[in-house]
Amino acid sequence: MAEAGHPVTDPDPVAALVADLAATGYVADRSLATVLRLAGALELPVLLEGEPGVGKTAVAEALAEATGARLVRLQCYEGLAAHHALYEWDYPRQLLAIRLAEARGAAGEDLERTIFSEAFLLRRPLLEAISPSHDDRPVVLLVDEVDRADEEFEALLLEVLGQFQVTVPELGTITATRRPRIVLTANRSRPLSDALRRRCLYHWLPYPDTGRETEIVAARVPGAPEALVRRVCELVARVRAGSYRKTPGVSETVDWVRALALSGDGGLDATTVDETLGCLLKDGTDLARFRGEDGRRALREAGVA
Amino acid sequence: MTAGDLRRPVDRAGARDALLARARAARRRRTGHPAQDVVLFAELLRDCGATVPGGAPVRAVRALGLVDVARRDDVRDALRATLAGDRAAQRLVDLLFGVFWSARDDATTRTGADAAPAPDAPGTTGGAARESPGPDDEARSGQRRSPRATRGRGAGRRVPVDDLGALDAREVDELARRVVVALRRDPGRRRRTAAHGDAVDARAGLRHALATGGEPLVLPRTAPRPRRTRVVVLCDVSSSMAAVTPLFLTFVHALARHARLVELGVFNVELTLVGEPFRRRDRAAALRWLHAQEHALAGGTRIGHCLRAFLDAAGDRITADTVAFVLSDGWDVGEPDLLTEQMHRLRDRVRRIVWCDPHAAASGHDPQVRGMRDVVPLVDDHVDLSGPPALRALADHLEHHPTTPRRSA
Repeated sequence: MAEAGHPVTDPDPVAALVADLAATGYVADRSLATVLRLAGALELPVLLEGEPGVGKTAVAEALAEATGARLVRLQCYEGLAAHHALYEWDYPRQLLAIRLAEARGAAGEDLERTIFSEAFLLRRPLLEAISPSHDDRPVVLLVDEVDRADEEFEALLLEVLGQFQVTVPELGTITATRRPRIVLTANRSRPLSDALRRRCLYHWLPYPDTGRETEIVAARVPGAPEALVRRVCELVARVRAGSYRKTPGVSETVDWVRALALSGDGGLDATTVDETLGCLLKDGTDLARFRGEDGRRALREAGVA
Repeated sequence: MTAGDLRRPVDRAGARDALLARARAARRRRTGHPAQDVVLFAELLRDCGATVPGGAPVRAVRALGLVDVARRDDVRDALRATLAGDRAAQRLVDLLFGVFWSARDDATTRTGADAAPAPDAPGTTGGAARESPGPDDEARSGQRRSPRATRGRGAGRRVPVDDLGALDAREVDELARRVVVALRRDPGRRRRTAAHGDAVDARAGLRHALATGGEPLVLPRTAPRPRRTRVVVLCDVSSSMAAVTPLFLTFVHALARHARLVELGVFNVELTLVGEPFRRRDRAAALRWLHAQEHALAGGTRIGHCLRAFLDAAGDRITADTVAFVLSDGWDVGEPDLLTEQMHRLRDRVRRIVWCDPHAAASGHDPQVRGMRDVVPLVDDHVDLSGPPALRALADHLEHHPTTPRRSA
């Protein structure tokens, strides 16, 4: 709560954050920057939801780079449990320590205290973010695709997100000395619990409009001709408006522009589109649909011969 | 249900106007004090169906102290991030913000020396209400409009859903649980302790060994925990389904609670997504909530149109292991070709389609309705669901046929 009680002193801290993110190659709109700034000032986690490929994960990476913080990433998946995410005791080393102590004739209550000390604690990403074992830089904790983890796992997150602390029964409660910035991302593959949402600021990341996507692609593929980037972004916007199984994200647009820039003279025509279509559409049904009337209409509307 | 009911145009704008009218009414209650007005705005969002947590207004007030209140968009973003917990609520904020926080009808002025400037204070970008959709909508211009997340509008008389009669909700709940368990197919990656499991739990073994001086005397074993079934549900609540609507809604509510629900839609001539409200509320509260939605439970049926809206909204979240339940009698006043096309879309996405038809047994599973005749070849299970006994039969059927052979149609 360093800034919460004080009036705004920076002329426009949100614009400054937009510029800092742009310097890392991430083109953020003001709305996203406002939420990130609020999250920093209020010391609250941010829950970012959006379609796949709109740049949710990249937000955390760019934020870490822009603020000089260390990125600690927890990739969620089904079956993720406490010993993967929070901490785990190093059992083999504990057993070795017991055997060595027995050999020395030093087994006793002191030994129990020793083997359940921080020296035998393996820090997993959540604990590492709360209490870094090395590196005193600030931390950005990315909990990526939280909806892929089981609902039971969300309960584990609550203590970290709400109190910025982790409780280890043998050691007690470890509280963050410096609170990390926390970014959670989700693809809405399942509903998240109210308890989790309540602890976060929420932001929905939409697909960028054509103008902003052009900026993003130009920043990510600096050598690509401007006209090509603009036409590709217009065409991608038309594809997104169609009924495709896997709507292409920004990363697909970037890959496609890279491929088009490499192949031929950097122009856009029906042949090059067909040859490089696999960069944009990643599903057999979608490819067939685009090569049919849907694609022809999109190409016609985008003025691609 | 009359022909007039079926042809009556769906008034999407009406639902929107009703929300805006509520916002205008709430605006008249504004005091001019930011903290109190934020609380009023949060109440307005709740009245309109959004879930706003108790502590959210406090956060919103703190957030307003951190943004430049002369920038109206920043104020909206701050309120949106703090008060809205999901996309539907964010859209609601976008819709209502401009009306509630406009200067018009502001009955009183701010008092107190410590009152921070209101978002609509002089210097803001005009007092006109911003009633346009949010930036999300603009970014995806050209797409069909998404279905309402909480509100529905059909036509004709409303179907009572609270009259469950002799229906034993606990029994329906238990049968829904059996249905969900029967459809569990794949082992998950999460494991649980099992005496005769297929793997030794080395971690637990070592942990136990600490108590015996490092000697692993006990070797606990684990087995994979079955993965919870992912389901999508589409439930027809048109007038022709009135007799079975209480059973259907009780069943889909139980499904929503027991399965890993991807999305739940109820439809008549338009689709209403109700996954979140049904998952959050107990049965009685969910049914009361649905009944309170204007025109959500009435009118004719446009299955193809609603299925398309459903797939547009939830298609990206449907995975190949999802089971689709469609509860409908197949009476369709929409275009038959559209229904067939959308059924193919659904079929391509899901593992299995279970179509629950209240008239299946009566017609000897030989549907007389055009819509039903077209879709039966595309579904995996065309089952009767005319009452609790049929639901028991459905659970038995799925327990005996937990998988279906790959379809060829």
